[in-house]
Amino acid sequence: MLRVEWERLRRDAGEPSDERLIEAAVARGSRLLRDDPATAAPPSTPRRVAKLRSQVVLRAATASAYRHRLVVDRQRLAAAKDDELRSYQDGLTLDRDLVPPLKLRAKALRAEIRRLETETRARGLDPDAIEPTVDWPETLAVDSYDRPRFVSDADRKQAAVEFFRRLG
Amino acid sequence: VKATALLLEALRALSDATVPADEVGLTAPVPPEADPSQTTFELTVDLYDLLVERSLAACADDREREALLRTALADVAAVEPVLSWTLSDRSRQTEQLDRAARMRGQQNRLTGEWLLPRLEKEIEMFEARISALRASLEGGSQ
Repeated sequence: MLRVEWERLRRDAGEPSDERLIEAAVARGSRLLRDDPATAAPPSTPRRVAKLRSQVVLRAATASAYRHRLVVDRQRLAAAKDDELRSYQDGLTLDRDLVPPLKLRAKALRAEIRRLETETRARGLDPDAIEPTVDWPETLAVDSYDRPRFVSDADRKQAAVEFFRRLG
Repeated sequence: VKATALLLEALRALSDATVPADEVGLTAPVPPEADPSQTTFELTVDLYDLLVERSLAACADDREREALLRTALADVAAVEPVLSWTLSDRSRQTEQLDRAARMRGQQNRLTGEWLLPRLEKEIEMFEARISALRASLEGGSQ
């Protein structure tokens, strides 16, 4: 149970000791959960009051259980937010800083190989006889690759402002 | 503070989900096979029943008791659905964030553990091929 709730209940019950309050609660044996509210209440209490009492207690305990989960799960939500942000930032680093330079380098090298092979043929030599060869279908297709453009919200707003400024 | 006011305050306080997450471990004499969450719920029922009983005892008559219970019921009825909805919304949000992080993490791992080494290996292969072609052209031109 949440400490703040336990302390409030103990204070409101006028019980200075945890053990005595638990004993008093356990002594009820959760009869409200098991018995008909009208019979669970002392016989002198009118049926309507007994039923209302049962409803209040059960709904309070349910609300208490919901709040307990909400408060405890708060840390889980915060951790999930952190994980999601971290995975986004890692992905951004890969897609913006690590992958593009390698793909552009591979693209340039592929173009250079083709140029050299053409030049080799032009000199009457067979490029396929020169080792190591490249098994092109097995390589990653990066010939049409272009560095991705990352546009921030601020950039988008600035572009819109400039567009309307140009229109006068 | 009157015992009746304590009940209403305690019920209204249940709406505050910003309280610290500190918990207390309560030891109750229950069978070892008892489900802890059920035991906690039963104990909570009994604790609120004690509080309600104390508040009812402070009332002058059944009419006052009924009025108090009706107010208490209205208060807790206003709190419970909001908590229930917030709980379900937060659970859904947490699940979505978990799923997004998991899928993106998988994509990042694929990129980091497969794509990058593969590109590096191909670049090495291309450089070796370029060196060989250049050497051949230089050798042919000599």
